[in-house]
Amino acid sequence: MAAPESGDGNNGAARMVTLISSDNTRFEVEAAAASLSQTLQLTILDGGGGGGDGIPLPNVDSATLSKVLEYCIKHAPAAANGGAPNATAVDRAELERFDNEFVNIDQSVLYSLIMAAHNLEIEGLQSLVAKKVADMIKGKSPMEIRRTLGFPDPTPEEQAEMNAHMLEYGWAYE
Amino acid sequence: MTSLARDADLISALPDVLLHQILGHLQAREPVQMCVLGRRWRNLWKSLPVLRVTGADSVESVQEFMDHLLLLRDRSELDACMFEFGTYGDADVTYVNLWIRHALWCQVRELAVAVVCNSRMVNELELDDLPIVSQYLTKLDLRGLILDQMFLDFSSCPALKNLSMSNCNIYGSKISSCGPLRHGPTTLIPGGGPFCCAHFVSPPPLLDQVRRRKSAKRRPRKESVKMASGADRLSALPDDLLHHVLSFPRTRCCGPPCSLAAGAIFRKSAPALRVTGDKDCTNSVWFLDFVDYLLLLRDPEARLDSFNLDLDDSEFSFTPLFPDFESHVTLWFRRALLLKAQSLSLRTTPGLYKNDMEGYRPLPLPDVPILSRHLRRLDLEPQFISEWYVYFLYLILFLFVMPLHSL
Repeated sequence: MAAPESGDGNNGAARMVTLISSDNTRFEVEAAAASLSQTLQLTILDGGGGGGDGIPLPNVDSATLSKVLEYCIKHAPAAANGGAPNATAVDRAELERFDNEFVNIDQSVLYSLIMAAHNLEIEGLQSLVAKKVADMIKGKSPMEIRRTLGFPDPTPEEQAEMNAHMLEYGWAYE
Repeated sequence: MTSLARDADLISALPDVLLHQILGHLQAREPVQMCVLGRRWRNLWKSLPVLRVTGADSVESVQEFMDHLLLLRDRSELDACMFEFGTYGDADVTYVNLWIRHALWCQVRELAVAVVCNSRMVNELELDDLPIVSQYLTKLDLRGLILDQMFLDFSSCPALKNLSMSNCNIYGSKISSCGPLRHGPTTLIPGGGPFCCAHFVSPPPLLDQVRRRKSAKRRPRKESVKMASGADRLSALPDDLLHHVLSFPRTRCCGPPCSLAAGAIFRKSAPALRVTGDKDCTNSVWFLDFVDYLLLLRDPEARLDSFNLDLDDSEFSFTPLFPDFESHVTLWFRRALLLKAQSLSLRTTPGLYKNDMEGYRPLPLPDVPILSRHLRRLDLEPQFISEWYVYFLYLILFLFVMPLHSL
């Protein structure tokens, strides 16, 4: 594998680990970034993922994994500072800007991302995507939500069922 | 269009825990409305661990919604519960207090209650002066409230780590906590805004570390309410016996409902509930509150043998309760069914529904089938039968375990 290209400054060369996606693509990342995942952190602490072995991730495809790693690499320095109590306001604003851009993607990618974040236990990413999806729904009428989330227009039967439900749940409407 | 349709399938395929996390960001109304998206979404709101009621201005505008939501949702545990209101009426105070107690009863971990106002004058809402008892509460955020001495005793909240109060009027000399609050006195903001600190009684609040174990050694903890010696002996009876004794008197409806929350812990598990009018009850609105409290604060695991609602008009006038009353009755019965009631009964004086309004007026029951595997006895007055007949048919369809013994 390639030699680690960036030093950490503190302890010389950063340790690298290899992750293997479901379609057999290999990704090499710093252990610190991969450790944002609680699941991977345990494996890495056990000494896994180094050298030629790699950690197989059968539930995550390469497109999703590269996106996940993009998030991890960006957030790793702040996470290493323990939730960044001494991060400057500029750093925090920069991370926020990155997060906003980061979730500005197709819905299908969002859902793969949140599943991957859930499986890999990356709490920050999971709640970032959840918030994004919630923002897409917020303040919309049920029909608008259907359209936004890509539900096909209801068939007459579905429409009848919907009406029945709106009657039953009349108390939930203002 | 096809890729959009695929998106819809993808989101519906997410596990409950992720959908709950998404829905937890929405106002409590929205997840309920999303049941129109299809079967997958129909029951998600019932077990949603986050209750966010912050979008409404007045308490009154969410009251009916909250009644339905709390009584019809699963009694699943709550992670977080947020209330925020701008305005409220005198009658709303009791509801807000009930919702808070209910959230605590659902083992809520993070609770926020706020009364906010755009103008500079905050009209603080007074919380019941009762100590909070919860093993689960870790974070409590209070804004724009009136807090009294007993409420400020958090020594029965061993998990509470994070407490903040702002724009609150604090009538008390000390704030007790069970263990150290994580951020020490800094999280405790008795004066966050311009109007707080105005009503401190004598010394400003001190954090008083109460060691529960020590005090427990000295004197075993009793119920928070002091009882006379005769009552002590009654309280010492085993639960079963006490429940049996207490199934004879009617479940009283006089006195403000908060007295129920404080003292009558036994009612949380009483297997027989008999609710009737009472001539000592001077305020008919209390009756609605009372039954709401009775059902909302009930232990969901406790056996409910019977729920009897006796609307005898001779001792207590139910007429002022119309028209709210009808929807409440319906809701109480649905709740009783959710609590696996084995016997339901409803009685009224014959004239009650004929006297007022235009002639005969049935209870408008919603067109939803009653599903219950537990109901064995349904006891209704003759005048209700035509309305309930449809439901009775449903009952026969769905009651495959035990037949109804009487109607």
